[in-house]
Amino acid sequence: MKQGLKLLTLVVSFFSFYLFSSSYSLASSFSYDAKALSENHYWQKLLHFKNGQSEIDSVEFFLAKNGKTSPQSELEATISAIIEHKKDIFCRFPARIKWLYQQIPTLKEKQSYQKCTELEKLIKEYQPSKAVLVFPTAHINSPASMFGHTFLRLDDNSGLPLTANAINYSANTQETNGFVFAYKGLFGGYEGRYSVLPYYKKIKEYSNLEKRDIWEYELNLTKQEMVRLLTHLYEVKDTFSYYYFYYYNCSYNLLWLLEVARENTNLVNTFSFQVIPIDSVRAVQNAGFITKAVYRPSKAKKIKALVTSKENLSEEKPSRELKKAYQAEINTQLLQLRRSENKIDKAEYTQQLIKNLNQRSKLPKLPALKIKKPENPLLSHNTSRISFAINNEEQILLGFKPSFHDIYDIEKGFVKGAYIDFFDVELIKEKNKSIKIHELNFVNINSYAIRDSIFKPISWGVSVGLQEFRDKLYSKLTTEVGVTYAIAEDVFFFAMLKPSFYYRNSSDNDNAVFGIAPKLGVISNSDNYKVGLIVENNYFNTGGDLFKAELFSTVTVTKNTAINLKLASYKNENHKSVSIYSLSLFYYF
Amino acid sequence: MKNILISLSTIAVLAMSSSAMAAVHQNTGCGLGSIVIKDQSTVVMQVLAATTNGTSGNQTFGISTGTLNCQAPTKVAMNDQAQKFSADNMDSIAVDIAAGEGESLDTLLTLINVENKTAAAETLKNNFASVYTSSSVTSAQVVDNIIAVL
Repeated sequence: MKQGLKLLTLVVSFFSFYLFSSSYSLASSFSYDAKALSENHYWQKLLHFKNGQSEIDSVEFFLAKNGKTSPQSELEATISAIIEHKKDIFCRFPARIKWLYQQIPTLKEKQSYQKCTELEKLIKEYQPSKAVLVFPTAHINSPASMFGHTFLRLDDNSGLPLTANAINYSANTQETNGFVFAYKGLFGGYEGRYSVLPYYKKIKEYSNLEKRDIWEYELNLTKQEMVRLLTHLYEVKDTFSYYYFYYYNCSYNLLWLLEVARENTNLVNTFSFQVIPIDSVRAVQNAGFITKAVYRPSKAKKIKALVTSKENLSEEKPSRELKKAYQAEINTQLLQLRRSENKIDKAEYTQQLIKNLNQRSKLPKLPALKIKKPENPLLSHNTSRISFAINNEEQILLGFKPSFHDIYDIEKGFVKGAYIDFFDVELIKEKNKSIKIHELNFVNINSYAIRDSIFKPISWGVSVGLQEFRDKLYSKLTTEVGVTYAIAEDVFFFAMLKPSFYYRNSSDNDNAVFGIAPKLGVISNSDNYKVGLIVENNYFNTGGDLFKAELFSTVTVTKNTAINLKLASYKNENHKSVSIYSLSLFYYF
Repeated sequence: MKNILISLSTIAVLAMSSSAMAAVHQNTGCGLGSIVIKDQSTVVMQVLAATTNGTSGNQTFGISTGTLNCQAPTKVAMNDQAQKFSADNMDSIAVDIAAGEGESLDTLLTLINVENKTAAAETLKNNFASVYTSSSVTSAQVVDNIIAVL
């Protein structure tokens, strides 16, 4: 009996031991629905999955062979990697893994969750307390940067923006040939990568070096959301996707980070062919992220404000010390500007700097600098425009451009005098004739950069496209160069010289026409209307000189609609004149 | 087709562009002169930076990037981030001290735990020459001098 009991106990113990120790071989509670999970929007966001594939091009980002095109394969491969405790897996994909453990509670029974120590250390160092979407605005003299740029800033809990970290997405290259650059930048020839650098370094670039104003849009990301963002950033930091200037660019790729930070956010899918930086800021605003806009003026603006303040001081004695102080401050800023343009070497610069600053320190502290805050770029008109116009010659003109801003558009929220358009097409319908192309500009850029006592930029412009010239359609190339001056606040005057070239494939005498024109203009800008007068006299090598004077006005009706009036007078060399008055409706979307 | 046309025009324009700038973050060491220089080498090379919004420096990830090999100040304990900030911003800190105010100065004072910043700024302004003793002063010396003066 005793032996039977002993045997029974042994058998029972053996089975119990077996039962409770190797849950492996029993019907395990671990299971998951791979298909359903892989169709979860958040999983797809983590993979940057859009239009049937992941936008990430690095092979290392995928554990499954077809991971780039199959979220399900990638999910299954990730889970296998977790269970097998594949090398470094917890540090390679911390965001994915965290999410999987949340979605599959039984996963921890197969493999216990492990934090990634390096990531934890990084998050501790960053102490993210506030997120900001930073928007350096256009640089007036530089066409590509006329669209601006965006990057994210994560502030730590010291409340000091300067020591915050900037998260940037950009193309990596050491290329030196301009054409190759431009070509590759447009067509995905470069790898785009995320990087992090101190915010003060970005300020040095944009505000100090490039004279660009910066708008800082504060976001309402919670601490948990910022940690999610950083965790995901950690898993994509060593990956790249091909960079496309127009679409998969700096601004677009930040949106992925925000979508991962906050579930059920829809940002990347609101763009399908172009991403102009300000539009990405608009999308972020529409998604409810932005709480406040802060303006950071460029160094150029600060210098101008110093000069104005100094000039506004009276000649009386108490002001003299202050005047010297302003001058000392201006001298320092100009010295730094010269150094940034490499006009003096470092040794000379540092010596002069110390000398200047010694003097400055003995002069009084200055009152707060008054710099007029421009309108928030978010108040600007939308990027694409269609127009409908009628004129006194019974013609109807229909216009369309996908981007961005020209001389007739209201300048609220834009850098004044900076005009850039791509693919601006105008169709014309005349009585008893069929509709045809009146003008088509592939690219149209004008940079009317104001000259003053300190800054002396050259104004310039270029236009390439097709144009109706002497009732026939020609290919056209015009350029212009000149100077622009401010004649009052928000009023500028330009004087340009404009060479032009028209070409038409035919055997006629006038199949190639060269022209040159002096061009003068005055533009007056207001928040809700603008008035301009442009006068030019074109001399052509084939004769048929043409004088044109145009007075125009655009008035805002709503943020995205406006009415434009043009009164144009043409006079040819026989003094025959024609006046064309037209009324247009602009609609921006 | 439209994209191709836009792209071709953009190439032409970008290649012709005249005043975009490439930022060159020079490794300035531990002293004055931490100014970003515009790369004047070729007009068109500058366009690139504007096009791709990249810098010609290394793309990095993480705070304590780029070893400075600068000496640490002796009179106060500064972490990596603070040391890097003071070394990279020697110029703007100097300008701020001479002016008696400024964001860079405020940031530095916070990093070395100075509480009454307004009073500190005034004292430092009156003692500028004792902080920035020469044009070759290092960031460690500047920080030590600041502590000594306050």
